[in-house]
Amino acid sequence: MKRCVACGEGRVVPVGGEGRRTGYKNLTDLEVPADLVIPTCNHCGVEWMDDEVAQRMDTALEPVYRKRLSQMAAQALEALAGVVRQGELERKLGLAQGYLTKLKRGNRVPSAELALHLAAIALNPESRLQEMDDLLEFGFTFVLGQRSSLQGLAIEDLACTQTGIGPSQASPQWDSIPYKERSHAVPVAA
Amino acid sequence: MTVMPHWPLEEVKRIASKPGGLCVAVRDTKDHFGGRSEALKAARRVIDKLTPGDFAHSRQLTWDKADVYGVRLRDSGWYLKLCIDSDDAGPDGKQVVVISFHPLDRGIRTNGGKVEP
Repeated sequence: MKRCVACGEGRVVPVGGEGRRTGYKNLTDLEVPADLVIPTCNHCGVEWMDDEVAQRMDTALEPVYRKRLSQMAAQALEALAGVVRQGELERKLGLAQGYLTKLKRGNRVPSAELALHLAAIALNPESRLQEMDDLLEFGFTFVLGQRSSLQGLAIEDLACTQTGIGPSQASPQWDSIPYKERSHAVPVAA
Repeated sequence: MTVMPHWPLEEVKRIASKPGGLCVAVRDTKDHFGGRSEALKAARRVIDKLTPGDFAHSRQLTWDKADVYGVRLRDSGWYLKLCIDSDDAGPDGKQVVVISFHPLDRGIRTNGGKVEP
């Protein structure tokens, strides 16, 4: 047993078991597999990592990370089921047709970007889907302009100055219609 | 006035570059580097590029003396505290131990000037 250089009080001992949490890549609260033994100070709790330990930790945490991403995407898709058709969502996100079905069935693991994007949409579907429509139709500059101090200008003025496209759907009336009731959103069969 | 690190930089670099020659303490649950192996690689890269200008001061720990550096990494200031452990670990029985390696909370004065977060 080595002494802990960090605290000078404890000894570094192999620690495994349940209930340990850690960050991995961009997720901050993953459960460390119980069978992963990490040299840990028995006084201050610092974990000590050399090349061999780092490699073992990455190997053990990668499947946990991928599982969490899959869960996040599946939960988001479930929440979005009554709001937007899957095919419509695939088109908006530039995904291959049927890809989201594969995610739901666990046949594909989403990237961190896609899982977070789906979760962000599902947390506030009306706004996010409207933003996506605006972004795809009018571009980033126009949508940003809507949120900036340029809001003092008429939307038609903005559209002419930024894109030259008349934002026929970006009217106040359009905003007030729930997303799933708009003409392009086809209701999902029960 | 230029202050010198307790642990000679060339020896630190030589030991840390060897397989098993570097050991890093992990305290928080935030992964700054995309995996533990990447964190170790990043620590090695930073140590390999250390200069006397990055050195801030030495600190007496319970048993050991540690050197503190302030470095720039990915557009941020980082705090690095290390020492050499001769407790029968790593190649030649020596190992560079990184006790702290995290983004700076506040500015730190080094030989080369102040490093800001």
